[in-house]
Amino acid sequence: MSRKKLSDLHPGEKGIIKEIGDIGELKNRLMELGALANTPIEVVRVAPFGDPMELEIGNTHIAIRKSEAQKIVVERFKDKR
Amino acid sequence: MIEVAFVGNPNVGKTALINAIAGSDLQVGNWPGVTVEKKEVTFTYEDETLHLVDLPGTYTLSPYTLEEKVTRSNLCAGGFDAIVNVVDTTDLRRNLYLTLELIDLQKPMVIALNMFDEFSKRGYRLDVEKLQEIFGIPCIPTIASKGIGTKTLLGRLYEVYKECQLPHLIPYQEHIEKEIAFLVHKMEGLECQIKRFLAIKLLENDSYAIQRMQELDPAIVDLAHKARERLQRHLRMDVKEFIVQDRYQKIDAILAQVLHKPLVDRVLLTDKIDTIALHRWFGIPLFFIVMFLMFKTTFDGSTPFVDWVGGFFDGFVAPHLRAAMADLPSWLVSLTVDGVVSGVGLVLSFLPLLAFLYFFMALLEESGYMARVSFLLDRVAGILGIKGNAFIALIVGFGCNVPAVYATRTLSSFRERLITALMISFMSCSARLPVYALFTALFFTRHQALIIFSLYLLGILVAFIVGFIANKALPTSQAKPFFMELPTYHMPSARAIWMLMWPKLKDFIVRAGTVIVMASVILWGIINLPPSATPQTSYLAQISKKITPIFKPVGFGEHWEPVAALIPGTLAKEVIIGSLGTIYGVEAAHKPMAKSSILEDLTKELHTLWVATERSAHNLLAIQITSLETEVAPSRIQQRIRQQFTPLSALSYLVFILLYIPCVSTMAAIKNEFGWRWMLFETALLPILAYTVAFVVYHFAALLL
Repeated sequence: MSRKKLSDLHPGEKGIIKEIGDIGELKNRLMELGALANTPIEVVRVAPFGDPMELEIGNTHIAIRKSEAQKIVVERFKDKR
Repeated sequence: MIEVAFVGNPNVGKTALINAIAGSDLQVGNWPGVTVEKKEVTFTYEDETLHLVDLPGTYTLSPYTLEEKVTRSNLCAGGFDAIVNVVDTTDLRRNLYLTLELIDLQKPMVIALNMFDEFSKRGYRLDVEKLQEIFGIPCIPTIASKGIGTKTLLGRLYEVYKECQLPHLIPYQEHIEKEIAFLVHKMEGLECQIKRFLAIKLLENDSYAIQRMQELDPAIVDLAHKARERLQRHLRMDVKEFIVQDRYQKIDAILAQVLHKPLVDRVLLTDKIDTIALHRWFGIPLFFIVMFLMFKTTFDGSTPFVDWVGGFFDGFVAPHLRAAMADLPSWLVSLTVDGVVSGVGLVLSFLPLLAFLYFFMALLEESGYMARVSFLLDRVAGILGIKGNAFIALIVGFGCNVPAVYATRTLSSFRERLITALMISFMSCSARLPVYALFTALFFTRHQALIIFSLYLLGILVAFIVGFIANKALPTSQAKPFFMELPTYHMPSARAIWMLMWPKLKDFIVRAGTVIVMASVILWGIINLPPSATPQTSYLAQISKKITPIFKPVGFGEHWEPVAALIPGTLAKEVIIGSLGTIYGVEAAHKPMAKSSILEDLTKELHTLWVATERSAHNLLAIQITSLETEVAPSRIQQRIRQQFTPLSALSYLVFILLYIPCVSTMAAIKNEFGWRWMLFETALLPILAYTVAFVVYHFAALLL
């Protein structure tokens, strides 16, 4: 188990949210969509130009920029899907 | 009258549901003070008048965008007697979060379990009875796209209101409940219907609740602050986070009782589409293909109709009007026919193009692809201080700048909208193409395509520079981080598309239309006055002769005629060609008067409309872009142009035409969306910019040639 920034996960990798840092109002928005501490999150893909990234929380697919994903700490799942 | 609010997450088919209930009576307008669409309908049910209002989609009652703010403020203003909470049954966990917040408002409420067909198809099962028992309110499965469940929904809504049936409170964790009770108790004497809701929001440290309470009773804000600190110490975590977590725990507990998941979650169609649509290598090319198809279809489909409307006004309305007004003074006839009616004709001739374009925009939006475009291009947009979705508006600008300006409405902040709108006028619209075609055919026969392509690129380059400067110059508002949902794809219904298209078309006819007709009359004045002026002695000629020398440094200041043509060109760029003809005097402005009867001519017009429809259908099936084939201008214009231009000055002239002003219709749209000040700013900025760029191109090209 290793702690990583969400932005460092590769497409297809999953992790458990450990901490959401200072990303302004986006933090509340993400929490209210279910991105709470100790819930799983998956990086589905990264846009062709390298930013933003698509995330899956529960059944919801959202996109945020890497600059914000950097401030989210996750514990990476060992096995890829 | 019973005021009913429709509330739900974005993309849950809320609008479709209200559509299915309202039928053709749905009214579309704007929320006061903001350019957020407001849809509502009033009708009689049993013995009561129902007023249904579609509130903009929101994930929670802690808003993130302008639209979500509208929803929260309206719900909290207390003007509603009942709530219809529309949920996407396929994603209950997330949707019920909003439901729990709505329950805290304690209003008569009904839940519409929408997309129930899709839900069942995926193999889920739901114990609706049990869910109703838990919430204490009716939960009705609906399929908005097919209008299923709407009757039951209305019936239950009526009952709930009549019996004032409130949803059961879902209690929070005991410490939170204690503090809520304490705050509610302190609010006792206040004139406020949503005490519980405000109490929980105060504990969440919600700025709106704090502000609202500050007005009602500042002492309670302090009490809430202390309560929050107490909780924080006790819970050892952020209170907001705890409350969110608590809500999700409640939701999971409820779902455990009512939801039966299938053993295997099937891979969704959306995931399959997105592996291609958002693919690292294929995503962008696919986007260009989609755009190409959209433009091809729009132009090829609408051109026959645009031509028909033009012909209808020139060949039918104008001659018959002249015949009918034969006894009136000729200036009045000319003002009416050439000023007012031709302005109306111009407005209407835009309609087929706009209708096609709006259709595709609505299709892309409703299907869910629009969000994907934002995702694909957000990185590039970030450089300009805008977000990915701004590119949609810019792309539309290549077709026509007018709908492009309106398309900025979907952007999240005024700043982003403004930067985008400033860039739009440099997107070379379809009306500029005929002018390029005429001049390049004369002076750059061999490299025609290359020159035209370069003009498009130049426009894009200037747009990016302007966007970049605007981003630096405009005061930065505290921009919220980019956030977007990638909704599930779905097949939009014809009704939903029409509901998106029609208000925009109507808006164009009414609001932009008045400005265009006004501009048309003013232009008529300068072209036809003083009385009995010829094209060579009109005010237009007099003004142009005076300002022509200004254009010497950019290469086309030797003759006044091309400069004069630029003025009517502000009406629409393609008018430049016709104006050149009139001003050169090669096309003696023919003003036919009708000789045959109205009925006879009307039949002819209807026949040509049918022909236009056939041509449109034919064009759509053809592979090449038929409408882009160059028109052959009368050779006498060509001769005169050859005499007055060199290749170099022609190039400079084209650059100037590309940039100097989009057209009065676009300016009208900018005025509509951003106000007089920005419209005037644009009108002043663009000619100066066009002049500068033309100057640079003229002298730079001189070195090369």
